[in-house]
Amino acid sequence: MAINLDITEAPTRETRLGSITGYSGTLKDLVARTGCGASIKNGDRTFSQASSCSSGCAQTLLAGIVDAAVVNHAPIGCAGDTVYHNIANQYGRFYREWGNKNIQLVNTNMEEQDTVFGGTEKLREGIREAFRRFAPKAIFVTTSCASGIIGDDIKGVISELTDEVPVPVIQVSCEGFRSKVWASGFDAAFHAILTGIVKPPVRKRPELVNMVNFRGSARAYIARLFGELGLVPRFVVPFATVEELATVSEAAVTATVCTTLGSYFGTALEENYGVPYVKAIPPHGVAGIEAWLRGIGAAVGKESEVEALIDKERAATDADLAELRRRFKGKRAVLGMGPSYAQSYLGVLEELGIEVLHAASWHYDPRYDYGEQPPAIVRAASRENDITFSVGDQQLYEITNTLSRLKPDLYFSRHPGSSVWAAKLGITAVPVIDEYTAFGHRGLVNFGWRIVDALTNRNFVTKLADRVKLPYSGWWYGQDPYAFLDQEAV
Amino acid sequence: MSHIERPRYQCALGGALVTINAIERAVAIVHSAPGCAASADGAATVGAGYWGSTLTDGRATPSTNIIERQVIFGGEERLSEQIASTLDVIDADLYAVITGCMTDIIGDDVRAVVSEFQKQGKPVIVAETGGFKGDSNLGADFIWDAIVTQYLTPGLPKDNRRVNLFGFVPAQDVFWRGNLLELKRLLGRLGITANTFLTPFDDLKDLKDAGRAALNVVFSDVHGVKPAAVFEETHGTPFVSEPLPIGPTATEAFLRRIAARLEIDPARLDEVLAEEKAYYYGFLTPLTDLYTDQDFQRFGVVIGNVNYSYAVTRFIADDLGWIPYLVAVTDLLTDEQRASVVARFEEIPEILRPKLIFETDTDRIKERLNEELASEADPYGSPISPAYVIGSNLDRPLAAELKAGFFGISYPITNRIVTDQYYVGFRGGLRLTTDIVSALVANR
Repeated sequence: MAINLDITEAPTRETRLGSITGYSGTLKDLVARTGCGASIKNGDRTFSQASSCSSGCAQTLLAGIVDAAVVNHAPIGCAGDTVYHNIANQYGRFYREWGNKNIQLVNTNMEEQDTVFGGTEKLREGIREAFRRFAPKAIFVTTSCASGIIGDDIKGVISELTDEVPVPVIQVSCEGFRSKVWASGFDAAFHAILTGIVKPPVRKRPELVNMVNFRGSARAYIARLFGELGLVPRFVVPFATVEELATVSEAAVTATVCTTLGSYFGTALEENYGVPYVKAIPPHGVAGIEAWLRGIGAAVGKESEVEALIDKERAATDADLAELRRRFKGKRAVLGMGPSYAQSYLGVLEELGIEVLHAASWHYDPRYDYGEQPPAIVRAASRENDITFSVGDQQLYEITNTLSRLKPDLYFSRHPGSSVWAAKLGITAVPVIDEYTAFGHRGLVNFGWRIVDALTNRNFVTKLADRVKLPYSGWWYGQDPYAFLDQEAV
Repeated sequence: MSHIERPRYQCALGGALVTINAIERAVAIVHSAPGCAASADGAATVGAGYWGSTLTDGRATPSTNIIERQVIFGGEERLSEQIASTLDVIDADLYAVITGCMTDIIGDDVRAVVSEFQKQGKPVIVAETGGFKGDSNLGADFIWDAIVTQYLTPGLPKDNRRVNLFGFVPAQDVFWRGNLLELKRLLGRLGITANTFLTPFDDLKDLKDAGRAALNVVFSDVHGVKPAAVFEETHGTPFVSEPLPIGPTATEAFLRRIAARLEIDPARLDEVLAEEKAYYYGFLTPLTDLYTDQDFQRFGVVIGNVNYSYAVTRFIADDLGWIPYLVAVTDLLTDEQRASVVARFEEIPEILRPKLIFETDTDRIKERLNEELASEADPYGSPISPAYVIGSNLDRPLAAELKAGFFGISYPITNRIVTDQYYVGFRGGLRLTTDIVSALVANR
């Protein structure tokens, strides 16, 4: 089904894509159950641990737009994590040599009486104040459980202020209770950008690539790769301007480093403005970068230039890769990441010669908005060997139990607050926090050497594990890791 | 109270959550939407100088993760199931059920659910901490109220040399662990046993037996006052509100008041005060070369919560010899609470008493400071040059604009890590001097 930009809210991933957060089985089984014509029922848990909120995912993108403001219509706590977003912002600004500045966000401070009498007056004041204080080029109004449950008429407030606040003011529906898939918050943010900011193209820019990412650490590397193809990257959403976002429709192609992040935006731009979206596997590792560059090349008619570039990059890294594979012989790992990375890193670790014993995915999209299964998992499942595979919205008790059984040499994780528990178990944890870790041939080699370093000195975690007792009962370690997951028989 | 720019606290749920997380072998069971616990905990722990996870917090916090379905049909059954499974999976000695906006709005009867477990003798307590009720400080009050009324052993005999220390909200006081340990050390030197509850070295037994204390000392005029009153009502232990004592002047005054109250031998008190002061001045005295050669007296702009804004102001006025110019208190306060803060600032001698504002918004603090400066015609430039800002990480742009020195002491602190540092007491004052002045020489 095509993405509908005529509605205010992006439907959640559960509704739109049939996404799940509860499954335990194997990689091949999951792919078979979610293939064409098949369907899968989500498994519920009778014990669960904290997950993440859609609003955090929406705000991490929107608060990063340099000349926009966010009005978070919520109790103050929903904006508590701006501390976190501000760190990403200040760090990013530091590396871009932009000077120290805080993110531009106002919270409407919904209190008890507002949950009874409504909070629209505070919202009105919040929008006015954000406009006065920050002089932004656009204002995003993010919603919350509280504003959602009481049913504040956000659209009404926005339309009343049209004359007074002469910049786009856009509702972002990211209530945490609507979805267990926090990536629904990304879609909410992109939906707001698509419906309120993006304009039809005035001209076409055949050299421009929309590069959908988070922090953009690999800007120089990508600019070099793209430069050899005569292309110019534009990194969105964080650290982009409203004007840059308004003109994404003029680009030649949209690519992303994370298909969980970028597929909604890319698909919508393709469907509505004819900007092709690269539907390849993510650009991590050799197979990833090559498929991804070929996808870009095909979209812009630069196939032969891409082949030349791939040959060059391979030649520069082949020897290192062989040496890394030799060093990793016999090494075993578990990985726990969001779906795009979990799937992509199955390939990355295979290329490094590290055996993956189990993979956990923080949710799973049976298909993307353009109608197909994620290509990276289809690729991983086509290998001869199957592995156990689980889907959970983190659920670290399952991961901890799994790790304590499998005792891998390494745990690879993505998402703050997840690697710490492996470290406390004495397992060397290599976090994949930077989205460009293992990006491309050279990134793969860098990542390989990072793992070598981690294995070279394991003192920090081994000594820590001697001291630390994790919170789980002895009883729990004796149970099946997915004992609390109620699902159809696998 | 209207909108707030980048709040310097979490919601009520967050304050209750981090309080439980700071108590050894206590675990929270959060009855709320999927993201609440991780968001609140992440904000608190990162903003508190990267505190990090203790027993089972962060993403490992047990949480019902209720969604739309339960909003319609109620979440009580899900909560009951989650409490039962948590008792099996998590090995702890105190389980605290705390709630979020959604469950409070839909009106789940969480007390009834929890009472079923209490009847079975399970150590489960409950507090309704819906985020819309207020900030972290209020949430900490809620959970302390629950601990005092539902967990503490009633009817214990009093020990007249034992006190409980309250008024610390973990992460809101970024240095709560170090501060508590130093206060415990100082009081210990006077023969007083101080229960701290919120450090990694505390024991739940001390919490359970907290009713033995002869006195509760609340290091705040606002935070922790309500549960202390409930404590007095329930367990008969009176309380006193004390400002956080930073530096020799405030700490001596504090110890003298406590010693008088608990009838400590005056000779012992004088001996301890003399030794602690000797330590402070033993290091401070040689620093005078730098202080006077470089002309390090400053105009102070202090930004922080109720506890820190007053304590830091007193220290720079009473010991460092600076001129406090403006103080911004960033907490959400009731009129009554504001009045108690105003009254406390009136204890500062008039010539050194700063302009006091209550402002939750970072950018509004800057605007109000600029208004204040504009109202003073100064033909020589800024009336507060050279200035020094002691605030939070959010106040760095303000300091840069004033071309002022800057040091972060209030939440959030994200540009350094905090472990056992402390600022209370004689030695804490020395530490604060060291840090403040270090920032002035950092680029040399």
